[in-house]
Amino acid sequence: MFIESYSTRGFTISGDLVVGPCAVLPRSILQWNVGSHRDISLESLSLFRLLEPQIEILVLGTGDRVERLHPAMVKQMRECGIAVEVQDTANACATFNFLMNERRVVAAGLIPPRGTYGV
Amino acid sequence: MPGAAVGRLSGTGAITAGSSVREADGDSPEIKEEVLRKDDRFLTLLKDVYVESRDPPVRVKDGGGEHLPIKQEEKRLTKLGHLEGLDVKKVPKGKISIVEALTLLNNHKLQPQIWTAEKIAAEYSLELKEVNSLLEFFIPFAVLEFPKETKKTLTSHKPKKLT
Repeated sequence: MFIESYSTRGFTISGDLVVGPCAVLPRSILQWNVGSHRDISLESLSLFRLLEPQIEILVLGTGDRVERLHPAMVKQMRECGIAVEVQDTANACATFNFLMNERRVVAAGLIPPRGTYGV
Repeated sequence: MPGAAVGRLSGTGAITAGSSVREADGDSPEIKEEVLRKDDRFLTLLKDVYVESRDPPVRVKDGGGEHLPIKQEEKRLTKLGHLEGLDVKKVPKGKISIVEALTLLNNHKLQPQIWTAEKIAAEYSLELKEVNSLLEFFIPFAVLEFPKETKKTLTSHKPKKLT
């Protein structure tokens, strides 16, 4: 499962065109109902925490730019055994692919970049 | 003449065979001269010299291949069962497998009156608060099949390709 492309609308993941923010899980994709990085919370990350087998690394793509998430939330995720990697979405996609290629148990929460290029 | 090696020497004669070397006195000027002198007779005779080897040909030892990697058996991917380690049989209470997560989210999406948060929480031994978060933020995608041309216009805004 690899992210092939991203745009302001969404992503192409393993050949499937996905519109809007998405949660990429091992072998599956779900729509992630967040508007922006401000909606990233322990609640909106619930599924990543509940999964068994445990997610090792969660890559969060916050859009155009890397955004600072609440340190307490990141700490709590870490206490659940999940390393959280926050990046801008372009880099998050690449990081996810890289980790996937390394056969890590990785998941991603990706918000499409707004970008300035043609919609 | 199979197996025969023909030895043939030529060039300025370093051949002293048959000459009278009296003593192993390599330093005497006569011997030096004798050594350096070209002797056409011996060179002619040498042309007829050949060396024949009658030893059995050396066998290449078998078993040397033991250290070579064995050619890998070709395998194919199975049609089903790709979840491998993800396809767990037991989960701790308060956790869910990926297949369960997809199932419960899909059930709720299709039949929200039947698959309420309370029922899901009870069925999967999850906290109600967690189930509410799950249902709020994670939604199965509606799969739409686009005809080829529509797909083209959808992607015509040139998504950034990752290589």
